[in-house]
Amino acid sequence: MRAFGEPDVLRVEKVPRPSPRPGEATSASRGSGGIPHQGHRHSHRRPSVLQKDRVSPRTRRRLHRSGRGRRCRCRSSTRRTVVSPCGVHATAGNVRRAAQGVSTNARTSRCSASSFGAPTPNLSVLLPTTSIRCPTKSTWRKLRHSRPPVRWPLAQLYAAVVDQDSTVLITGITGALATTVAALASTFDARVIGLTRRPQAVHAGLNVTALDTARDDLAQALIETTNGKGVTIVIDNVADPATFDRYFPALARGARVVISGAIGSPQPPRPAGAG
Amino acid sequence: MPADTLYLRSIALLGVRTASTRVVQDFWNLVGQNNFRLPHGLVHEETLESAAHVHADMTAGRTAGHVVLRVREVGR
Repeated sequence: MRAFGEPDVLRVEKVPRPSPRPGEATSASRGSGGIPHQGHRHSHRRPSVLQKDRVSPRTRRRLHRSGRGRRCRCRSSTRRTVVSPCGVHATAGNVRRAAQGVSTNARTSRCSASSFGAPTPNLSVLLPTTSIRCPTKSTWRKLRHSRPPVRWPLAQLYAAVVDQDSTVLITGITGALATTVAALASTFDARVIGLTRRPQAVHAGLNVTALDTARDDLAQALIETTNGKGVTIVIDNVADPATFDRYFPALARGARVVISGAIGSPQPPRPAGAG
Repeated sequence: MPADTLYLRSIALLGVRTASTRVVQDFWNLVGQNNFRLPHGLVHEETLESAAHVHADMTAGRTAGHVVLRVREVGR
């Protein structure tokens, strides 16, 4: 299924047998969902973070009985982790932290998915670089005390879940709220792109890539600015429908759009009797 | 609103008007303990008498950043 639509979009096609690239493993998938997103997840072209830690209890028990794996007993995740025979495990959170480089115990794995001995669809692709060693109790205690939990000091950033991998697009970047949001997003090492009708008025100290809202190729400019990845977070303080339509095509898959203002929207009608 | 695109591309659309007490406290902790400040030159101080002029500038889109009106109380 390569398109969204009526049942006639379904096609039966022959596809080439997947060949793993260096660092990847293949496995047999006996079934998959019918929606495009699931089909994409099982296409072996893009490893999904969530894909790696969805290990069913039945799979965990089977691995434990077979001696090919054991349940992780570290305090980081006792419920959703399987440890391979060489002592390497992967959870969604650890994989994400390792990929972001913020995990102090992130290191190159010594095993691959095949070490799990589990040809399950949910462990179909496991990159060695996203597996990390299970920390000991003392190591985990140090990590827990050395890394405070992420606190977002503004409702917009809290709703947007801004982190250092985010590319944040902020509209009305010369405004008071937008400048504060941009400065705070920079403290998370996020990349900030600002939209305004006056790019020359954007303060240089904000470390913002300013784009003119009025340019015709705004979506294309945003895609180029993000190196083709698209914008992952939008904090829209203006809510101008025309601007929304122009930046929307440049959003990445899974993007979050936070609307926190409406000065650019048409004024709502006054209630009857209002002065 | 392209509703089907929101679904197909897993895009979330949220509206935010208020903040929780914890978020507000985190903000002031960032200001007080970690010395978070806006870059120099983004906060402009004006007199209370110039409020009308400042408002006109903001409406016309001629300001950038924050404008703070200084209020002087009698006897202080």
